Amino acid sequence: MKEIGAVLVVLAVVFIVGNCWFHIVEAVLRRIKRIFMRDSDGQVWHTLPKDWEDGDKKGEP
Amino acid sequence: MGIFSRLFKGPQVDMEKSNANAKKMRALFDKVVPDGKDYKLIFGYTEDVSRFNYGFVHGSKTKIGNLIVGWNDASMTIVVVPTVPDLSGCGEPTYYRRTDILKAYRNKYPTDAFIIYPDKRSYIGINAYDWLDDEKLYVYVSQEAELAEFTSFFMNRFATK
Repeated sequence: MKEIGAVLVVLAVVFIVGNCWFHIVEAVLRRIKRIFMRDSDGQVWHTLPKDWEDGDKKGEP
Repeated sequence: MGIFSRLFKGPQVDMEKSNANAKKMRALFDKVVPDGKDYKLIFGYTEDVSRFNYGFVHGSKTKIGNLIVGWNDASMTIVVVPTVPDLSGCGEPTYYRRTDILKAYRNKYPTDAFIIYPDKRSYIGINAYDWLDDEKLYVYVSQEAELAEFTSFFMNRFATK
């Protein structure tokens, strides 16, 4: 029983450390990408028209 | 309807939410596409699957890109507008005109997708379903009839093979 518990603990530790490692590497890569992408043009983003809800309430989508 | 059929009928579409999102999609599309009203709309998405190997941790990750897909039967044009699951905004439209594209076809494997090659170097794979329940990843909209209509348009009018 103890052995099974030990194996489960080891698996849990490997899972947690692996997850942490994945997120650390992802964060570092994201920062590096941001440095190189800073000069390039960002994508234009349009927000939903503010009067959309009013129009919707009036039945004018 | 019996107790068991009620228990096992599965998730149901919230049509109020779906209709509200369909209207939002229309509002966004019409904002960025001139003569947007001439286009019929469905929701679609792209999948970008990439492998990673960070030392002792390796696997694959999938990026989902939500799209408002419009099509005009008369001009045989498909317009794709990137958006987000809550439809709070959208990006710039990309036009795929039947006369300008290199090829277009429906892919069945590994996933059912509408593939368009505007040129030799790039392509877009549009996945679309009647309804997807995961609101965090996809736009919540029920579109069975619209998808059938888009599929018919794509296969009969837009596809090159």
